[in-house]
Parts: sequence; structure tokens; C-alpha cells
Amino acid sequence: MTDMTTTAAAAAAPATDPNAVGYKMTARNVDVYYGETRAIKDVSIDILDRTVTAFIGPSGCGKSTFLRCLNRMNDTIDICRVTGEIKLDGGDIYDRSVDPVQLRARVGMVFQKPNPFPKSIYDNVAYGPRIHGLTRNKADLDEIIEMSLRRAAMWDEVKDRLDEPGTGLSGGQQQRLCIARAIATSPEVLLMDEPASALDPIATSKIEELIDELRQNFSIVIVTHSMQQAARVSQKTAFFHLGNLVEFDDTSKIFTNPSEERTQDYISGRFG
Amino acid sequence: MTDTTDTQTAVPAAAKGPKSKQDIGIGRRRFAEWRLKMYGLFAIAVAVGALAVLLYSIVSQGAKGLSTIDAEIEFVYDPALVDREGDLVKRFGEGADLLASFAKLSKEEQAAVVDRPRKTSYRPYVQAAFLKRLGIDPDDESPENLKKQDEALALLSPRMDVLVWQKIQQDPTLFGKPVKLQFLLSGEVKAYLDGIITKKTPEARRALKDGSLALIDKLVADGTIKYRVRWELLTNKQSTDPEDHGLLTGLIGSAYMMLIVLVVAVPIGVAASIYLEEYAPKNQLTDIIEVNINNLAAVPSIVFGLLGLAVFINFMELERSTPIVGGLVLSLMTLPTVIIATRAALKAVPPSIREAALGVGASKTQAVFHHVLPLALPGILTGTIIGLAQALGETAPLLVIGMNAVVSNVPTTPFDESTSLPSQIYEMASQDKVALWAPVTSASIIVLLSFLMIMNLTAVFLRRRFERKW
Ligand SMILES: Nc1ncnc2c1ncn2[C@@H]1O[C@H](COP(=O)(O)OP(=O)(O)OP(=O)(O)O)[C@@H](O)[C@H]1O
Ligand SMILES: [Mg+2]
Repeated sequence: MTDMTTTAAAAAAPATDPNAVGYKMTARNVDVYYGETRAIKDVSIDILDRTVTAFIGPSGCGKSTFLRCLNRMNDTIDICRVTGEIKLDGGDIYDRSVDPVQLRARVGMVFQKPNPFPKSIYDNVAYGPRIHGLTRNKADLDEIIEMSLRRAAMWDEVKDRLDEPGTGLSGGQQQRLCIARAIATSPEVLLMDEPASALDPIATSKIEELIDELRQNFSIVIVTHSMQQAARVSQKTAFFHLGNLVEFDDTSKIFTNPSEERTQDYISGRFG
Repeated sequence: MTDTTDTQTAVPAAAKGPKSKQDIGIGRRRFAEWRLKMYGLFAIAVAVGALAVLLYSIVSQGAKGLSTIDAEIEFVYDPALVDREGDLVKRFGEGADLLASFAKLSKEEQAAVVDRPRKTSYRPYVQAAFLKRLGIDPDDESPENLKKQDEALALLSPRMDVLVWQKIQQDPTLFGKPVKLQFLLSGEVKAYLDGIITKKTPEARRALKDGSLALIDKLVADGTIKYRVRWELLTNKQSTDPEDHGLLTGLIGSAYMMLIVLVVAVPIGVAASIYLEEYAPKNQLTDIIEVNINNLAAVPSIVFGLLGLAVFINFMELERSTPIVGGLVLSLMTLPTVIIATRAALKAVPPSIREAALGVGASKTQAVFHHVLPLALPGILTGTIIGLAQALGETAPLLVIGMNAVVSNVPTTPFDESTSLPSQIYEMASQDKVALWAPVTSASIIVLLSFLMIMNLTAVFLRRRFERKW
């Protein structure tokens, strides 16, 4: 059964991106229950390496829930139960031997609402590398921090005030700081749950540029409510509805010629 | 907090009803609102008024208790006082010879010499010194002079001979020397000066007769009797007389108990809260625990006292009246307060902070100790201090475990017999001579309230100082 869907999915989504070197994450027959409620129903999907995958769908359809399965953030919710199989580089992430803490260092996450620690900008970014013991000395750490902030396109804005609190930044800056914090541990996959939902158009476009930039090194999954944003930044798009994965294909195909009627209805604004 | 929940203003009820009814509804609603505001104002006025009356009565009484009077008098530690049998004179000779020989003795021998007379033997000497200071001949036994003597001696505190005796026990080198001593006057003198007893009080109903009162007036006028701050309230032990009663034993006992509460209740309470809030699964068992902790906070304190009596004294066989027992009882009492406050503080840390930490790969413990706990710390400290303040003022359970006894020795360890600040106040308030004890009782209440106020202000300060925005 599993093998069949694998081949089916592979056939349905041929690697058109020349940069894509293969599947980073694969999910098979994933179900998620909140207590008795089934929030995700039998979802199978492949996340390609060095590709931006967008999750779209009406509110409450389970985008966040599924995204949180990918780095086991759902473990922190008592009533949440995940079944099925999710693999990262071929290894089952729900295996007993896998430490979710280590997994989350490989699969980073940026949340919908900017949530910097009430600490200095420096300490915000340094936290991940510190707890994972990525650096041996201060110089190494400084380097990681500069690089992360540069990649998050905010080094020039904050390089002179690294010891100011991260919570004192503007909303857009805070979100970029959170992105810098997430990439400081050099994750292989970066999950972003509506990262631009609280931001103005200028900050949003900065973040979109940043995502495009990060695609060179990471595999990115982004949840968004903006069709335009999905069309602009992603190469692959997955449409969720009522906990089902309705359609998953190249972004260009989803937005121009979706094969499912429900997808068509959603992107043309007929519901959701 | 980040959660900016838009508090949506409720849709006016009138909007739902038919249009014709709108006007009536609004008028009634405004009146209801005004009425409610008035109720509130009235309630606040009553509360503030009651507080003002309470504070006024305590402070006006306590101000009297915070000052004391004394008269400086020269007292000679006469060798004859010690040398009843005359053997000292036989051994060392008289006058200067005796003193010179005494000075050569070792410390132990000196102490043995001054230890010889009983406390009461000092009384005639103390009285003579006092009378001499007032210009009354102590040896003239004419009826007229005897009356004068009686009037004067009524002013002297009966505790003075003990104090004089204690003084030389502490420093035997005073032997044979004249010493300037602050003579303690009886509580009645202070009561007269404070206006608690007046000349209008029928003579039969007061210890000081008219002659004595006239003498007091004269002594105050010529500066023999002086007012000063009553530091002895803090440095003296308990006494049977209000004029030299002090809170030292209670202060030390209460301090030990606070220390024990800090060491026992706070770590246990904080650990329990962290577990319940951050780690415990949400199930029936934790629900039951939660309900019970909240109920525990409402258990009457005397029950904790009885529990302490049963467990710590009868079962564990700890000594009665000791700060260790009191401290453990108060710890039990404070535990729910600490737990409730700590849990509230932990709950107030936005979940997004935990998610942020977990999201970059921190373990649960790292998330809690690196981020949640530091953010909750001001709240935890505030709760802890308020819990401590509650424990400091608690009396009933301490009475049950016998911490209201009169203790002769100042406790040096938590295992020594002691009393506590509030139970001492309770004892003072239940003395027979209410009028004489009232000022010093109120002054003690002021001391207790000052400690409580300092603790509460510290809590407010900490909250302000460490309050963070996120
Ligand atoms: N912690 C939770 N406990 C119980 N049910 C939950 C929880 N989180 C989500 N759900 C339920 O799971 C379903 C999917 O929620 P989810 O947050 O994944 O939706 P979403 O697609 O991210 O929506 P949105 O676009 O509004 O963010 C919803 O029906 C929601 O009620
Ligand atoms: Mg969501």
C-alpha cells in the first residue's frame, strides 16, 4: 500500500525543478486526531529539497496541524495523536529512537505571530546554536549570528544594536528576527506558518524575497492564506480542504489548470 | 502580553428589540449604571473609613508605646551589698583595699563575688539611690518623710532591682563603682503622662496617689524625667511589666519561622507548580490535585495548627513551642498560596514563548528553565512574599502549638523554645491591666505592621522592577 502511493505520488509530481535533488520529507497516510476529532485525514505528500512548498486552504482545514506534524510540534499538545508515517531523508521521524528535540534542530519553524524571546537580539539568534552546542567560541557564534541576520535581510538594520531587546523591534523586524533565529541552527527544512500574516506589504515582500533566497539552501514549507503569495514564492502547492489533501502539484498548474473542482472554486474565491 | 484580544463591545440590547422601545431602555440602563457606580463608591468609602479608624486607633495608642521615659540616676554598686557576712572585708580589707583586691581577681572569681546577693537584695539600695536623686532622705523615718518616700517610690518600676542585678552580672568590674543608670519608672507613670490616668480618676482606682502625680509633674518640669524612643521594645525580652516588655524573643522566633517557610514551602511550592503547569498530563488525577490545592488555601489556619500538633509534636516528637514546629506548620499553610501564585505566574507567560523555544529545538526542560521560569520569576517572588507576609501575621496555629509561652531565654536555634511576634501581641492584648498594656501592645502591632508593609512594598517593587513586556 505504502509503496503504491509512493510511486503514485512520484509519478504525479515529477521533479521539474532543476535544483531539486530529491525528496526531503515524505508523508504517508497521515491522520491527526485532536481527542476524537480527526483533523487530518489520510494525507500523503512529498516535500522536495530546495523547493518552496505552499499549503493553502480555507481556515480550519488543517494546514497548521499538518505543518506541525513535520517537526513533531504536535507532541506538545496533550490530546493530539498522529498516525501514519513521516520520513525525513528516509528516516521515520516518529520512530521511538528519534528525539523530537534533535528533530526540531533539523526541521526549524517560524510561527504565525512573531515570538522573539524577551532577550537581546543577539541572544535570540544565539539561543539555538548555544543549546545545540554548535559553536566552540564566541567568534564562531558571532559569525553564525551575523550570517543568520544577513540571510534574514536585517543585519544592516540591527548590527549596531544587537544587545537591544528583540521585543522592541517592529512586527516585521521581529518576524525576520524569528526567521534568523530559526536558520541559525542550520535546519534542513524550514516550516513557516503564515509568516507574513501580521505584516505590511513592504515587510511581506521582504520576507518573500528572503524565502526565495533561503530556497537555495533549505527546503521550505509555507502556510499562507494569500493566493498571490503562494503563486509568487512557491514551486509546489498543496490544497487542503476539511482535513483532506485535495490536490498537490506544481504551483503553476494549481493556479492555472487545477484538476479538482474544489481547488478551482477555492482559488477563484468561490468559498473559503 | 501579545494576546491582544479585541474586547468587542456588546451589541446594545435595544438594537435587537423593536425601535419604539429604544428610548425607555436607554434611560433605565443609564440609571442602573449610575446606581451601580454609587454602590461601588459607597463600598469603597466604607472600606477606606474602616481602615482609617483602625489605623488611627493603632497609631494613636502605639505612638505612646513607642516612647518611654526614664531618669538618669547614679547608682553605686556598694560592696556592703555583696558582703552580707563581712567575709569579703576580712579577706581583702576595707574600702580602696577591697576594690584593688577585687580588680586583681580572675573573671570567674569576680563573677562569683557579684553573684552572691539575690536580686531582691538590691531593692533597698536601688530605692535609696532613687530617693537621694529626688532629694529625699532615705534614712529619715519621720512620718512626714515616710509619706514622701512612699509617694516617690511608687514611681519606681518594680523591675529596676532585677535590671540593676543583671547589669552587674554582665559586667562584674562595676563592683564598688558608681554607675550612671537610666532608672525605669513604673508603667503607671507613663500612663499618667500619656493621659491614660488623670488626676480626675478617683484616687482609690489608681496606684499613684495625688502626691505621686504632683511629684511626676515636678520631675518632668525640672527635666529629671526625660522622654526618648523606646528601642527596648525591639531589644528586650518578654517581661511581666509593660514598662520593660520587649519583642526580641518574638522577633527572633518569627524570623526563624520565616526562614523555615522560605526554605521549605518555596522550593516545594515552586517545584510542584512547575510540574503541574508544565509537565503534568491533563487528567482526572491532576484535576483532583488542583481542586485540593485550591481548597487547601481556604482551610482555616487553626486546622493547620492542630495538624502540626498531631504530626510534628505528637508523632515526630519535636519540642513544643519551637520555631521549627511553627515554621513547618506555617510552611504547610503557605504552600497553597505559593503554588497558586506560581502557577498563575507560569500561566501568564505566553505559550508563544514556549513554542519559540521548542521550535528551535530546546527540550521541554530547557524551555521552562531558560525562558518560562525567568519570565515568571517576578510573579513567583511576589506570590512568595505575600505568602510569607500572611505566615508572619498568622496567630491561631501558633497558639495551638504553644508558641505563646513566656520564654526566659532568647532562642539561639530554631529548636529552642520561642514565641512569635503575633502570638506575643495576642498575649499582651489579653493581660489584666489593659490600660497599662494598651500602648505597648499597639506599638508592637505597629512593629508587626511595619514588617508586613515592608514585605508588601518589596513585592510591589519587584513586580514593577521586573515587569516585562512581550
Ligand atoms: N490544540 C487543538 N485542540 C483541538 N483541536 C484543534 C487544536 N488545534 C487545531 N484544532 C482543530 O483542528 C482543525 C485544524 O486546525 P488548524 O489550526 O490546523 O487549521 P488551519 O488550516 O491552520 O487554519 P487557519 O488557516 O485558520 O490557521 C480545526 O478544526 C481546529 O479546530
Ligand atoms: Mg493555522
